[in-house]
Amino acid sequence: MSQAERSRAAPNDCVLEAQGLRKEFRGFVAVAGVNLKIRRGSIHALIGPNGAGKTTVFNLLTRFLPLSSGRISFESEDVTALRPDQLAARGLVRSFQISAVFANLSVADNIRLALQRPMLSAMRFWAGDKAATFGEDRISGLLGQVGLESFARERAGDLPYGRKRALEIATTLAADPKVMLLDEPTQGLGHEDVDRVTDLIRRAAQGRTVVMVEHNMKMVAQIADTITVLRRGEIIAEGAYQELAENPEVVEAYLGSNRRGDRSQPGARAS
Amino acid sequence: MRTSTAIFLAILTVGVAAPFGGLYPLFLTKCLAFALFACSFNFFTGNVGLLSIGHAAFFGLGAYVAGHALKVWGITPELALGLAVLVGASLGFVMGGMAIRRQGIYFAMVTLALAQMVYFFCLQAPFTGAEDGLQRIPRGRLFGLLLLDNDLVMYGFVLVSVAGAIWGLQRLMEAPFGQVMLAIRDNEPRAMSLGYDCRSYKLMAFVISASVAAFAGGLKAQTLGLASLPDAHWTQSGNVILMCLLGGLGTAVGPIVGATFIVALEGYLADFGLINIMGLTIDLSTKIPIVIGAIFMLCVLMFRKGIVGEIIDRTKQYLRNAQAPVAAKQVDTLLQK
Repeated sequence: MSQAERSRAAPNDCVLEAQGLRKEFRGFVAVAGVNLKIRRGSIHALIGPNGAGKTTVFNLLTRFLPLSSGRISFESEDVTALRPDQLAARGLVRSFQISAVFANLSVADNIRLALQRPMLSAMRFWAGDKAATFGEDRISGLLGQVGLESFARERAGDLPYGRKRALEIATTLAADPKVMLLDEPTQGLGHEDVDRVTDLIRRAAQGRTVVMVEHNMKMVAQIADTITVLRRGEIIAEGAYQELAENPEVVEAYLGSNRRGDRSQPGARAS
Repeated sequence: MRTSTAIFLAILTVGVAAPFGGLYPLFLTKCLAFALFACSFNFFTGNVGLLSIGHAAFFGLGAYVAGHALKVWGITPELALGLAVLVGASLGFVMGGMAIRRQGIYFAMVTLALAQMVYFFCLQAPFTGAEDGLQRIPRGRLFGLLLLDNDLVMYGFVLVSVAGAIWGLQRLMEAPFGQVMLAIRDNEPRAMSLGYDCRSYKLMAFVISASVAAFAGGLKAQTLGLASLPDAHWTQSGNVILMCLLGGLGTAVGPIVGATFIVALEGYLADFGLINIMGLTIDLSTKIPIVIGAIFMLCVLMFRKGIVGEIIDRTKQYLRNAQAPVAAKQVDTLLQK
């Protein structure tokens, strides 16, 4: 009914849509009926105090966690029953909160794995030399974007933390996703790294949609088009940064239940 | 040169030279069969990172199937071995399909339990000869032409097949398939988030590993003319784990080195006979497991990466130290920027 009306009104406006997402862990309700609409081409941030269910929403959207109830549609198709890898193959690619690289592979091979996936069925099982040098140009291009050109042959596990995160973003980009879901892309990064990653995400968002969970409000203020505020598994507000900064409920949610208010309070670090 | 090609040539070279060094072809053939078995185990456990304690089931069943086909049906060896591979692959598909959903210790336990079921099947089934096993299995004529009764001829056949199979396994690791397997071992959720169907990849690796193990079992039965219960017993699974750990799990040649070492040790100890330690007379030939157990403990305590793993590590460290001054200079220039 209402959903049908909405999809008729704007058939292609929403690239990703979630209705009534709900997740319970043995009686504990982590996510309680979240409705999300992600506009195509936008940068959409999910914020909220610790334990608000942001990462759980991410895991539900990408099918890494089974839903208790709810429905997810991607590109106007119901994808609730798909496996994570199937969803990823359709163009919904996520990153992880704890940096996720293939530690024992070289930096270049990390990227290659993401690049070659769509070709793998077409490529011979055995393809050797061609595969080993597959996509060299794109790999060096992507590494250049994140400032890792000179590290191409290093073992990914030996990279310092900030570089690992950069590699992870480059790998996600290499998969050429329609929607990129970034779980705290700036977590644990130093100042310059934050600026670089912010810039990178802004550039990556051209021609694709970005959904991110982020604590760094300065960064969110800079690049997010829409912000959804979660608290205790529910959405308490949604809108552009300026609207939310003036919303007393949002400010209270941050100050009330999160002692790191100085860091997380909207606007506090926007100086 | 690719590692796979290098290993292939090395096995052939050493294999051709070995009989001239005075080693018996029959002993060498046994070494090769177990080397292939160890490589098959390593292909899955070493590269995917899940411990299988059920590989004896494939090895044993491969031995029985090839033995039965050669002895009772009298078909040619290549068909008998092909049949063993087919049965191994099917069993691998069923076992892997059930086990692959589990992680860590649960995976190991499921493979062990299923392998025990295969063991009891081998004990009860009408064609396996129960406790006697299949004895005096003929070697047959390869492609109906070449009689394999001569040990040296048989050895040549096994050498070429084992070198070929090991080449194939290594070649797969160098292909995109192998890269994906290593990626899954490193970080399965990330591989999944890039669109790889990890379960299918793991299952495929398991099936390949099972087929090669069955092939090794078939070769062993054909060479020694014997397929018996110890081939399928869980201690055989333990044996192959030991071979790989000793040689270097996850390395390309470690399993070959480990298997050769263990087979040689068993042969040596079996000939050793009685020894006298402080008035105690011990028959070493019956205490082989104790000696091997002691070696295993030393291996775990002193060189955990196995013989080949340690050599690779030390070489890398040596090279890194040799390059250290250059690296330091690079850091300096980076800092100055």
